[in-house]
Amino acid sequence: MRIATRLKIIFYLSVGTLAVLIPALFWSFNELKKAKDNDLLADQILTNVFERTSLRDDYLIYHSERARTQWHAKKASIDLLLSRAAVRLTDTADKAILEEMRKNFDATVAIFSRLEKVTGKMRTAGDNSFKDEELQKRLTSQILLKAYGLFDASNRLSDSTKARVEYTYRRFIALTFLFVVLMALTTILNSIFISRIMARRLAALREGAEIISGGNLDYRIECRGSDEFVDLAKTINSMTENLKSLYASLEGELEHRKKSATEIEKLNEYLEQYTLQLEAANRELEAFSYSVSHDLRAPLRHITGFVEMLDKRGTAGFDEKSRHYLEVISESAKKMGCLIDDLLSFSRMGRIEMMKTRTDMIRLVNEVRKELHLDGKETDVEFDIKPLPEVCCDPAMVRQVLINLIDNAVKFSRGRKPIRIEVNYRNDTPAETIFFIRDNGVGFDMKYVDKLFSLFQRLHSPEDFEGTGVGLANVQRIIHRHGGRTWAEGEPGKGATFYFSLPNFEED
Amino acid sequence: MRKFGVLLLIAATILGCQKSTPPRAEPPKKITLAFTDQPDCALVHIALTKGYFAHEGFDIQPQMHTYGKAALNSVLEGKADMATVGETPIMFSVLNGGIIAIVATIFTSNKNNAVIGRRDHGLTTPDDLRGKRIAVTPGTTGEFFMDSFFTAIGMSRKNVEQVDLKPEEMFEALATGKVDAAVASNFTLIRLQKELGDKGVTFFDKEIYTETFNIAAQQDFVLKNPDSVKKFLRALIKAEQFAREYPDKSQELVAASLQIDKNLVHEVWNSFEFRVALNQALLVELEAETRWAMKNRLTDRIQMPNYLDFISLDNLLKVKPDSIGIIR
Repeated sequence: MRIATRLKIIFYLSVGTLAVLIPALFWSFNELKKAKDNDLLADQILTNVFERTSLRDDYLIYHSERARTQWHAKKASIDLLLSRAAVRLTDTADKAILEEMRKNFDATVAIFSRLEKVTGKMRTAGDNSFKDEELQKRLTSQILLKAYGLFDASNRLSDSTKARVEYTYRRFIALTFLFVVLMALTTILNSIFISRIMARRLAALREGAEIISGGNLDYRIECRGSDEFVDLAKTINSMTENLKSLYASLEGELEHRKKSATEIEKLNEYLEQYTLQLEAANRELEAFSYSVSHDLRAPLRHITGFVEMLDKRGTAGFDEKSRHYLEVISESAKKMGCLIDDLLSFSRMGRIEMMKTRTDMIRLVNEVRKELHLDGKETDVEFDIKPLPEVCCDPAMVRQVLINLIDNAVKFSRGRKPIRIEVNYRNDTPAETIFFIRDNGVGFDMKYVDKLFSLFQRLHSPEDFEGTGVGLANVQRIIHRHGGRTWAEGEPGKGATFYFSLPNFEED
Repeated sequence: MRKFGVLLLIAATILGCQKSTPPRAEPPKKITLAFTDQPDCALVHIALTKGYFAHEGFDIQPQMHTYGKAALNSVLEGKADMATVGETPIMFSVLNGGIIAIVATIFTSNKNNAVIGRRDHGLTTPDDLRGKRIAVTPGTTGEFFMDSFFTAIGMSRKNVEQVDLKPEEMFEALATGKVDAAVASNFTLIRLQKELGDKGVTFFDKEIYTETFNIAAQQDFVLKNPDSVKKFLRALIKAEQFAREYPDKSQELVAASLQIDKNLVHEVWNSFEFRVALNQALLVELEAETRWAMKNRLTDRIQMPNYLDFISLDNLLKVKPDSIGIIR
């Protein structure tokens, strides 16, 4: 049974006990009052009977009219009291006594009346004959006899009513005592009962909780009964069961992760080896590239030199076509020179050692502007340089990044009046600072965005915008070496925004 | 420890529920009881029929009489241990030197005795009794009633011709005209009334006499057998309770015991009071009758005996204290 139900039952039992006992007490008190009233009535009868007996004797001795009148008055009182008692006394034994009293009373009244007549006759006629005197004596004997009977019955009635008062009084006291005892018992039993149940249940719960918390997930708390503690025990058991399942799955997961870690470790080892191989290959490739570029410069210088020498010697003997060929050779040699320069720069950027230091980005941007001759009022470029934070980077390399990006912005905004270039930053995450350069140039189609930072990739024809396709690749290489990222957003005719992020590292 | 306590409690409860050792069976005490076949002995008949005497350990030897005086004589002669008898024979017995003890009154009535006469013998009013032959059982309550009745109507026994008859002889005497009237008590009275029918006339006087019927025994017997007397009284008290609670059933029992018509019992039942008691009225009555006996020279005694010496209060006081109305 549930504790709440038990408490409810105990409550209703207490209320029920009160509901029974309080009316019982009232009833008992009422009975006591009635018994006392009846006893008072019996005493009144007894007193009246006694007084009437005295008046009878008074009359029998002196035959006075006063005594006779008083006797009759008392007779009326007794008659009234007996009638009242007949209504009020309900006990069978009392009724029997009352019946006996009524018989004796009626007999005394009848005999007294007869005695009055005999006495009156004797007094008025002066007849003091033996017969009348004898009758008077006989009647007197009978009236005495009945009066004794009445007196005896009155005494018994008085005793009976007193006994009834005593009985009802004892019953009242007993009921009051019972009331107090029952209430006390209810309270005590209630406390003992509930506390015993609670103590037992709590002990089981505590023991179970200790065992389970000690690691024995197979232990189950005993769940006999259906009270709230049993519910709690069931919940704890269920929780333990879940814990056990979770623990088992965690062990599996742990095992799986261990296996995965081992595999990852193997893969890492492989990757490290592969990276080492790749780095070696890259170094070889860069060395090769540098070597080729460097080596290409000498023949290219020869070509350029010889073209210049031809040009100085005069190209009058050359026909138009030959002069054109010569120009093409000269231009191509120059372009190739630029290409080799950029390639060498690109190669150098991958090889030179970084010198990271706390760098004021605004100062760096302004230096770039100055270097690109974009700080003068005569230019058509409007810069919007927001306050930029200091970052930890190689200032020379990041300077190169800014040169490439701002130069590109100006180049691909050619024809815009004015050219608007915004240099700004944002902190999406605490791990890095993102800088961006936004222009109002020709923009680009986002479907080619992946090609933007690839080497020698160009989205526009050289006729429209000059360049070698190395700049952005160089930007990406520098930023990657810093541990950052590069990306771009743009839309044809609506400008482009180039982003690069730098990790928020502390200075080396 | 708690379990041990519970076991102890259970054991105590089981032991407590065991019936107590029955008392050692004693052979029933033989009591010869002289009593009458009249309604004044109704409680005795009920006690006998209901087995109240047997339950109290008595083997009652019944000795039936037609009137109380004969029953008392049986006790006085040593033929019976106890008797049921009216106060008048007791009074005469005491005046004659009988050492008897009244242990209880069991019957009281103001209408048990009457004068029943024959109309065809010129009897219509009580005054017509003057000069008539009237049957009476001498030394009984009937004789005292007759004398009182005559006093009430301004007559005396000298004005009539008294014919001494036993109760059982009265019917024939009245029927054959040997007597003009008879002083009778129930059931003889009611039978005479039935038999005479319209020819009969009955004169009552409820205010002139109160008859009692009592349990009497030799004082020696009462003194030596107090326990038996108390048990005897207890059986009668049970009969009294039964009569009070079941009046109809009681009348049936009495009728069956006496082998008479239940209607006869029923007709007179309410004129009687069946109560085991000892009242001051008994003393008054005994003394009044003693004065009457002495005045009419029915006894040689000239001094009033102290009837308290002939009333045994102790036994009834112990079994029914509230029934003692005698002033002590």
